[in-house]
Amino acid sequence: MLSSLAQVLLSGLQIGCIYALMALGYFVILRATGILNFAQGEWMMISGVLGVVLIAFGVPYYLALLAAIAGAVLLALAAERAIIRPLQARGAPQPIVLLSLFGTMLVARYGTGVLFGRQDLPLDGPAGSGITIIGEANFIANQTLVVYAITAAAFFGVAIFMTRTWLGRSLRVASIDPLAASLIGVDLTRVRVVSFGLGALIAATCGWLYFPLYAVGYLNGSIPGIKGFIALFVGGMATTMGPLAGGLALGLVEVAASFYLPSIYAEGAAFVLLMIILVAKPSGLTGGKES
Amino acid sequence: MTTATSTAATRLFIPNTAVGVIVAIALVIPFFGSTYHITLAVNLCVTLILTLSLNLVVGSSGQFHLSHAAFFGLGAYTSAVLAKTVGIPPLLCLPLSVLLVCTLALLVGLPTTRLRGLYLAVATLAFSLFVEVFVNQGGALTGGGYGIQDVPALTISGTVLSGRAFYPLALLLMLLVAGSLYGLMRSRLGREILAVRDHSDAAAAAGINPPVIRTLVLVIAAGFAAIAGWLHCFYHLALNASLVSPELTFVWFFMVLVGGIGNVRGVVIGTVLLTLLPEFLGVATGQTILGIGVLMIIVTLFAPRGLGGVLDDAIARFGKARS
Amino acid sequence: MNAIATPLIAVSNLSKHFGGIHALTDVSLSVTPGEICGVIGPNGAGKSTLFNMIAGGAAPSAGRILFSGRDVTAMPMHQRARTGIVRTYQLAHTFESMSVADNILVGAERHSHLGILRALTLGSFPSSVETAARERAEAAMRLTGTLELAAMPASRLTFGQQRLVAFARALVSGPKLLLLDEPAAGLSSGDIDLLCAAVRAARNAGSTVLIVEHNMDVITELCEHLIVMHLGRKIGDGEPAAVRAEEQVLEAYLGS
Repeated sequence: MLSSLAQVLLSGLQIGCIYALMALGYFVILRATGILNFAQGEWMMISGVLGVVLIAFGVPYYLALLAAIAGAVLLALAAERAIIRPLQARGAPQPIVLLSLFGTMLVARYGTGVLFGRQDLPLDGPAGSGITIIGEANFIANQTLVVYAITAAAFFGVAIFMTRTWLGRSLRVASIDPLAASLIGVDLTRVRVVSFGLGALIAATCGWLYFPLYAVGYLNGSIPGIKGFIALFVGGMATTMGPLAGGLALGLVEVAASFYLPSIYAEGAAFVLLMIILVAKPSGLTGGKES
Repeated sequence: MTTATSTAATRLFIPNTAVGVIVAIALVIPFFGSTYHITLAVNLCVTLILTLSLNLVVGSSGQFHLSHAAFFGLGAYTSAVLAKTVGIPPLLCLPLSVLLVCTLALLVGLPTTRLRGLYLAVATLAFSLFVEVFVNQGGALTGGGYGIQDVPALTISGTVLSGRAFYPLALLLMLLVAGSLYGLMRSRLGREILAVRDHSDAAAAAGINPPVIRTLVLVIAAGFAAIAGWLHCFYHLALNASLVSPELTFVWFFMVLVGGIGNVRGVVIGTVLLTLLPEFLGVATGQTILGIGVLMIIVTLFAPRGLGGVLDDAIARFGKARS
Repeated sequence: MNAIATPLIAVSNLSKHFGGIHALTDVSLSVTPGEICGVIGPNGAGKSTLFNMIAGGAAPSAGRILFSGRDVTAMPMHQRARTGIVRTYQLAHTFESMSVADNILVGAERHSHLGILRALTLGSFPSSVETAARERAEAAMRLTGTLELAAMPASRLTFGQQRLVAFARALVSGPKLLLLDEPAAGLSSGDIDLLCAAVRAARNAGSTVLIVEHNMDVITELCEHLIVMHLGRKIGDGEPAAVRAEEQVLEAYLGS
């Protein structure tokens, strides 16, 4: 049997991967457009809600999964088209853009609440509830392995995308100097669309990892959404590894705190971790000097 | 972030006839209004305290402080717990919960005083999240997801102030808070707050300590939010965890933005409109927030300077036409 | 320089470097109470850096600053202001939410005591302290010729007017050490005369003045003590005539 500390670490690692993925979604959008997309948690939630609904209608699991993720991504792209694009075209200042994203977040959340009702419903993970035996007496849930795999794939994929493809490199250049980027032929709108879509894809996929652990409900995208931010700021925004470091750190700290402290204070651990980073090393765990 | 849309950030001016109408309604409500109307009026007083205090913070710093709902909710919960579980007289719960919330605001404000922009937004949001989860999982202390019911009612010299009788108290406190904020901006401290907002280095060169001022503003605003929480607690005599939801901060933020940051008149009108309109349209709370979300999107797309700005323009044009 | 009196400001071996740049190297100087001291030198000489160190805007990499014998090297700017070291900025930095009168009033008020309770209760009613401060502000406005601008919002001032208002704000607290950062830049010649008269009046009222300036007429007009900087070092320190005569190499920088 794994020691209780090891169990703590493993479950911290799992939730940490989920936070890391959420942070990655924010990261992609923030790096490409400078916008902190408050609606990410809602795309995750909508992907879960769509999944539950489709499965309830008898759609086969994997089809429902794909359709739900696609649905969430389409919604995100629609929001970009209808809201962000006109604002950026007008050169609206950042606080206005942020406000429109708050609004989008509220509409997505409460619109879903109105349409789908307020109950929390369960969702199965892609790996079901099977377990894999390791060694003699240890086991690990298959779902946990799926989480690790998806996280590794996502981070690897994004890192490759950002460094090896023209589109990915455009994203990086666009964030550093939009004017220069447009001068060398980078289409800023395309950059924004791709980054919003990619961010939503990551968040929507993450929903299928998170909601099997907690239930699907219209309000349940809020907490992972906020934790994703916290993870991003803890880990740093300089490189793709920032969100990963931040997510894992947050997950581990949180689980360790809930192990040793009454759970109501364990949430404070996230806040304390964030404050320590913001005060001592604002560029995050992986950040270098502030640029 | 845009600072005051009008240079006289503290001028509270509403055309005289409108004032007359509002005062008349405010005075008449306790006699002729139904319970529904009284509740609406009390909620409006509570929300006004919240938006005016949020306006102080945002207007004097130009930053996204997202922990206002946490202070409001904690003020309400502290009052409820002290009154129901500890048995402290409701009246005494007011200074006690204000003290507790202000102390917490100090603890949050001090480390965050040098944070800006997204960093401050995330930090204050993280605090708000902590409070939300704390309240939701507080078990016996906070009633968890069910909240707290059967809070003892407020009694002043033998009279139980509940329902209809509570309204004058709510109105009085709201007016006192508004008056206090008005006086604040005219005082030396108010000048220091404006100086720090306008140019914190020049303020320091004049002997003002910017981080202390910024933290103080947060503490004052949190104190007012706690007063609002106390009012809410002893009117409704029941609370649930939705009071500490960070979404509420967004909603009040929107009311402040619609009114124009720093523009008190606009904030008042924005608050009144956004509180009363959903009621008149007969929508439930969840739909109210949905409606506000839609409005946020519409306003940012079509009227970014907010209602206050629009009013300023209209009045300026009206003035020019008359001369 | 009177070596007998305690200098108001004594700077010892002050150095400042950022990255590989040595903005100041081993600068030492002292300013006698009651004098008007000018700091000159070509661009990049380190005048602004020296000024900023004394004002408290940034910390030196090495060295000490003594104010009336008291070590203020680590003292933050707002505390220096409360101790009597008041600076102006090249870009004026008026408080645009306020009227001119209020701008100057801020300089006249004591800020060490927060006065929260009073502000929240009796805020609308000026205290006797405030009334007295307003009178001092009015005197400062008269001195700088800005009295008729008193009710104007500071956001509507011209550049020159902003400079004068900021200057009045610095004067009004009767500072022990008045630090002026290129006060004459952008002023009309009439305003410059006002400035010089005000500086002399401030000195007569007890302030010691340290001016960083490029305008040699103002320097000649006002300063009894001249410090010359070049490439981060002090290369001249003494009475203006002596300093300017002695360093021929400075002609290339000072002009005529």
